[in-house]
Amino acid sequence: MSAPEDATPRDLAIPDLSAQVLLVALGGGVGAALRGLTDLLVREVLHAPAWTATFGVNLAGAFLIGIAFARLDPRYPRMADVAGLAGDLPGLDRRRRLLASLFVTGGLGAFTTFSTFGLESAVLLEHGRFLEAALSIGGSLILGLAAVALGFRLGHPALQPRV
Amino acid sequence: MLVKIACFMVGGAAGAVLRFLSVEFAARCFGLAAYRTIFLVNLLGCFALGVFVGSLASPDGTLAAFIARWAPDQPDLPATWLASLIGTGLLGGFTTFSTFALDSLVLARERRRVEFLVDVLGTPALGIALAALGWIVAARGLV
Repeated sequence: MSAPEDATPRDLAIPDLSAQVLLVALGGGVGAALRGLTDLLVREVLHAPAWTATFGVNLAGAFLIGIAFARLDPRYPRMADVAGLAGDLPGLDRRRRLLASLFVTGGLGAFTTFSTFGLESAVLLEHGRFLEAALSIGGSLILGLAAVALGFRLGHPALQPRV
Repeated sequence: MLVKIACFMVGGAAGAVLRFLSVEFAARCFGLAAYRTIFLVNLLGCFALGVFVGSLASPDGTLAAFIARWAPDQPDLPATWLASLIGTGLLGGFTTFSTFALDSLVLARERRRVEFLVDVLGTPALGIALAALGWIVAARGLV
């Protein structure tokens, strides 16, 4: 099954796509289960509002995707195009592409969610809970981008502090 | 509990694969950049989740009525496993926050200001509006 060393990208395209689909499914299943369990924990054990679970999960996922991206594609600051961000990072070797499918597209992609965030924010607004809505929406956006930047900084091989 | 976890996993796997294939398909057939597909995926997922929860709620239901039904502390309600499979799993896994945040940061770093603003402000604003619209449309029996 292993492809010969000199195989062209075209030869690798189809088996790679199936392998990627499998890894995305595996990562997606685990990621969504972790989010669902976090949601249950926050609601049933901590008795906190539902949106705080989504908020926390999304920020954690944003931090982790920063680390993952820095490790998988250290060329980042000079990246010509963001076209590859959801798993098909251009110019990456096969191993990194498959790792990205498992951990980034599947795992972190499904661990975090936008639809629940959107619905819960709409619910908060509908209920007139404007402070919580502002915390959910503004906090997710500002802290989310900051979390990616922090994760990227901590994860990038070239930005490690010299010991 | 195990049924719920299985629903999360099956739904999440299917949602993530759908998202992955959407990005691949849009890139290969329309040459659409991944962050634009993710933008559309997130908006579509918000609308679909609104439709889903709206259709589970009673016709005259308010958002509060549905939240009471979707709440996991009422496991006897038939809607809960469906909510785990479709709401948390499928649509939760289909949409993504981490890639959205990463894409937005990259757009900001590359000084693509208009695209950055459209992404970082447009996704949540339109997503929230579409979730509410989907809810209203479904709750009134229009879908």
